Amino acid sequence: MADFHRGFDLLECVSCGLCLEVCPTYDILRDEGSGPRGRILLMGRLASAGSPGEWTHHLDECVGCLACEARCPAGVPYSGMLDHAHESLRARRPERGLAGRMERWALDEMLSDKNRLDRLFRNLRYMQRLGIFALAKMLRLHRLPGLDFLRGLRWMPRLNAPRKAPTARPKAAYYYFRGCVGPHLFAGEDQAARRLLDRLGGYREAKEETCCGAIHRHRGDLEGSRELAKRNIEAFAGEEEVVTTSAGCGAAMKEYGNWLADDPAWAERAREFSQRVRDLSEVMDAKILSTRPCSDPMLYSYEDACHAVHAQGISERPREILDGLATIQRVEMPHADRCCGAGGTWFLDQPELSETMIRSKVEELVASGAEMLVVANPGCRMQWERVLREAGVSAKVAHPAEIWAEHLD
Amino acid sequence: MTKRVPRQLRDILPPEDILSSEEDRALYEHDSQKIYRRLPDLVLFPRKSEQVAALIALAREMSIPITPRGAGTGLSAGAVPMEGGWLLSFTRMREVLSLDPRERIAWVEPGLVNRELQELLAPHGLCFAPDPSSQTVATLGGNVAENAGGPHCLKIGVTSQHVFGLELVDDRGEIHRFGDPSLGADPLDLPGLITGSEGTLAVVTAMGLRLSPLPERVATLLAPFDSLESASRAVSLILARGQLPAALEMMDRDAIRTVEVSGKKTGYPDETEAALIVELDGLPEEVEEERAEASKLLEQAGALWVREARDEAHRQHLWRGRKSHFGATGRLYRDLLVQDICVPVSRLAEAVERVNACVRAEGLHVSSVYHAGDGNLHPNIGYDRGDPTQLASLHRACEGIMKIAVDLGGTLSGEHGIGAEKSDYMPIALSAADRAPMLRIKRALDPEGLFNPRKIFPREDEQTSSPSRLTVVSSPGKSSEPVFLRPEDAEDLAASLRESGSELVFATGARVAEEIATLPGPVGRILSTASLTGIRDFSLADFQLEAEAGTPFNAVRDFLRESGQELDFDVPFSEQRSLAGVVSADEAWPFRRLNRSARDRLLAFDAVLPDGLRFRAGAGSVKNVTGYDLPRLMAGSRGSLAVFTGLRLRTRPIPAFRKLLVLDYSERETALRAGLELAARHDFFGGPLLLPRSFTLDDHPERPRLFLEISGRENLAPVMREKILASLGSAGLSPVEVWEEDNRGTIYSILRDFPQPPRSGEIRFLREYRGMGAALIAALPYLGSRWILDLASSRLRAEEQVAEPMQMLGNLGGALLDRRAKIVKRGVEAPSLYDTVPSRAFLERVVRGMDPSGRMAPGRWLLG
Repeated sequence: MADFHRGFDLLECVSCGLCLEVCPTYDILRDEGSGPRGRILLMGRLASAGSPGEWTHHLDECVGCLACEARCPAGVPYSGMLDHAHESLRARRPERGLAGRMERWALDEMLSDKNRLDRLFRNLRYMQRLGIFALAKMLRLHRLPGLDFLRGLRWMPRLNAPRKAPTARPKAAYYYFRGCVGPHLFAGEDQAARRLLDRLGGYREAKEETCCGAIHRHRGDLEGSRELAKRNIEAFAGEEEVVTTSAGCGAAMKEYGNWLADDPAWAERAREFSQRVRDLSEVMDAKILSTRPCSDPMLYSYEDACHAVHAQGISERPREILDGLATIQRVEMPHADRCCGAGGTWFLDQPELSETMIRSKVEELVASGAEMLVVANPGCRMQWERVLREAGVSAKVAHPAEIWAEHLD
Repeated sequence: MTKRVPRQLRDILPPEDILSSEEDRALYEHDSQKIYRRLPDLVLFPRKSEQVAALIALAREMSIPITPRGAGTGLSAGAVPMEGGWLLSFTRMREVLSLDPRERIAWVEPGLVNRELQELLAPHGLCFAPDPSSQTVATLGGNVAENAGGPHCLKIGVTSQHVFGLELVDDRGEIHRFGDPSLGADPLDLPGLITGSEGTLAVVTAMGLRLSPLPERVATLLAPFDSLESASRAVSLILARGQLPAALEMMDRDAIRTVEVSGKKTGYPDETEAALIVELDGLPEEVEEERAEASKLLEQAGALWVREARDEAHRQHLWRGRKSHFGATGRLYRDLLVQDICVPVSRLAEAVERVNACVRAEGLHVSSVYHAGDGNLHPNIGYDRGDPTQLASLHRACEGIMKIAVDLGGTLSGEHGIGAEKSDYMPIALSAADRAPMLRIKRALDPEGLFNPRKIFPREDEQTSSPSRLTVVSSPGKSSEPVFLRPEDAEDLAASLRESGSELVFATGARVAEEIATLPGPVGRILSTASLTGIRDFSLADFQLEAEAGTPFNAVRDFLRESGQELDFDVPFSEQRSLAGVVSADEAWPFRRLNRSARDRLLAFDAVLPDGLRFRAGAGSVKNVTGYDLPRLMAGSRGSLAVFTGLRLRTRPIPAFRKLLVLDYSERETALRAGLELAARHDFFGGPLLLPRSFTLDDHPERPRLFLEISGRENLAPVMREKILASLGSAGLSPVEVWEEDNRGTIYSILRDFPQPPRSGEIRFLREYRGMGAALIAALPYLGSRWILDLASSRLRAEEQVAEPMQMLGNLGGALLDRRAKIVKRGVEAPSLYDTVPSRAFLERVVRGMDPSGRMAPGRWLLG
């Protein structure tokens, strides 16, 4: 009997191609370079190639949804391989110009510093109130050279000031990992999560919490992501489970053990930390929710965030808890677990692919008849809110935490 | 290195549909069989048939080989461009051209993924039967190229049984379209020849597919065993009942463990050495009984336990696990090769043991899955491609496996194809003479070797010279009487053909005098196989019978009846017909089961080519993708290709009950509508046949009567009857009276009394033509009192005095045929999506491949 659990490098792709079924970019482009099977071959080439050629666009086009990894019967560790490919690409073609500096600044200065991020979003909120963004959009400033990052304004939701929520307790059942961008973009989610955790036994916050590192990793800054991981591991010292409402952050933190596996000083701590990370739905208890009957339930559809379903295997549980509520009724989209095309910051780099991906999902949502879309990741939510607004679809978007919080007994 | 793109090519395809950089092309140098590799010169993504045609015309001009490719999930290196050239990737040509859920047919482009079609069909309660494990990604074009199978083809047949029509581009860049969904519509089964030809004869650009109704009820049983032997014994027990399960899969210990590791656990006991998945489907009542029966048999064979899939999700999960096995085996071995041999099911246990011993003797690991019900083995062999001694061992092991397959009466490939991987093993299964007709067809259709070079045929065949091209025979002219010969045996027959020189030859079975009377013109030599009689072999365990060509059909029927067996089709006048005669004509009416005709049941045959070369085609296994599907081509060829000397057919147990359901109507139109409704909606009976009651000497001669034959498990008769009546009732087409008859006597006596040609005529009409129902209804009043309409094979036989309405129908998209299917008048225009009349030029090239001088069966078929 051969050994089933061999080393990382031996879990090799046998080219069975079953991953192509679930790959959102293969679904659109239909060539090998646009699917995981071909990209794995290209990653191998990248390792030996001197300078990355034009062909590396295939790797940039991977949204990193990890549907392939979840589907792979041979257990090929695609996400780890992709991270290394991104790092290698980043090293060989440094970002230049204003956009490159902006990216560097965002990764190094903003995301990893909670206070600066708070100030930034406060300023952004004022600018939004003053209509500056609307003006920029109207003047199509993103068309000016070097300002194409302003396209991102289309995705900006209406920013609300944080509202009052139950406060943290020094002695509590859980750590709450609030995330860097989510609470600013969607203050309601943050508030709902706090209310729920408060009912579930209370929560405490980590003063030194920083960005989870997912964005850094996706952009090839593995070193940066490891530094952030270490800071979070220190910040969340203790026994408590670390709960997050963001699928992307949760998936990243559950991987810290792998990220730091080669660092003897951190490997064990990272593994221990990763084991404490929970998605809110994993600690959620349906018993705290009201089950008052309702004769006219609202139809909703549940969208699986890639980093919940593919990276963490979370898909049934949030649906089950939502199914317990009488005020809403679930209608499934045929491809609820297919990526919406947000992919962290990928939508900014691959606007056309991203748009094709979300458009077909909107068709499925409309066909389902749902009046609300529920999704547990801020990136996905931004993408959905933006496209529904632009497509004139009236369905609203919510995080499951918000719905649960509304139903607290 | 980036390849230059010829200017003419840029006129055909836009830049985004051409890959020329080395990095991009390298992704296409192998399929899921990673041993054979070759970089294509260019990868092209056609999106339209016209582009394919233009590409091929250009490739021919520039002498560039063409290799078609689907999703690249093949396991025999069939899509590897072994001589470079252009790789045509069909993944962007994936439209559904038409879908007719009522008639259960669809035309699709080759790049459509099998799963995508299934998703489209499910809401209509339909499916496309072939379900290879790669179906979630494999393209239908690839399924057709390799004649794919899958677990569920056990009961309803491999891909070729579900392809009725094709659009293809030949080596000259010309587009041909042919095929009609009616039973046995085309005398030569060109779709059957092209299906499984692995892209070596033409490039398919659209496929007409038959769709199957989803079963009303499915039950999936799981049973672990503590040895492969007891699992194999369970397979034999289940098959011996005669009722085929929908699927009957077996996995060995390692296969189970890989599948368990890569998915959710099923929780087999520790001592499990093998497991079976038995899926039963059909009418709810049928499934209930079969489940009880199968469970008992599994336990009797020593199952550790028998459990049923809890619900649909669990069932899907089980299949997903099973179908991921190949990929999952990547956890076991560094490199992996899947073999695919097929043996008669009675030899399964022996094959399993010998194959495992053979691989292990080479020091390699093997883990296997089996489509056990078909006798199809998939040993997955682990090796390390970096180790030359292991590679050599692998090749020896594979060669050994091939020899075991052939030794047990089986064949080299059940469903993966020969491709580049097994071409050099071909001589193990087929002698040079057996390969000769295949090679002749290849050279007739692709003389320059443009299509998918170095596939299927062994290297030694590349040197074989083409058959000498005889000039077309001049008509005998002289009024000399034909020579009539009745060879004593196959060798005698071959000698006679060899010495016939340039004479026109007509081969016939038992009905010599009648055949001679209908000869269209003078022939030089008439050969009767009437002396070649006798049953050669019969295996009850395998449901196979082999007999001499001239054996009377009724003798075969009587012989089988003694063992409780029968053929899936039956013909009237059986005492006057030889077995070869019935198969040659692909007779499928009036009685057949599950819409099967001779071409679906012919497993192997012996025959003599016009130049006297004797060959054998097919094998004793029920699946076979070892070279071209000559059995399908020969069944229905009416003596125009070669002369049968022996045939091997699949048999089946005589059903527990068989009844003729007779539905009386008060007027023809309602009866016809009811018949069309039933033909479209149900599969489980013979017929429907519609005829006026006058035949039965009734007192209402003008009233029409509909006959259906139902058969199956004892207690199903009332269920089927209820179903039929309910579906008619809901369509507002209830009959005025219904009763049952116990045998086929009524129909046979009507057919006996029916006037023979030229006092009667026959028309085949196109089922695909939507206006056909209306045209038939319009023609009904003019048909007089003696006619028979078979709505499953879309055939109307009537007396000569009604020639006019028949002519009218012919003009409306049909083709008027005389009794031997010689086309008298072709429909002026077929107002359907496709010109469904076989493309004459292409057909002619196929026929001329086997009979270069065109001297066989003159006038019997198109080339007369």
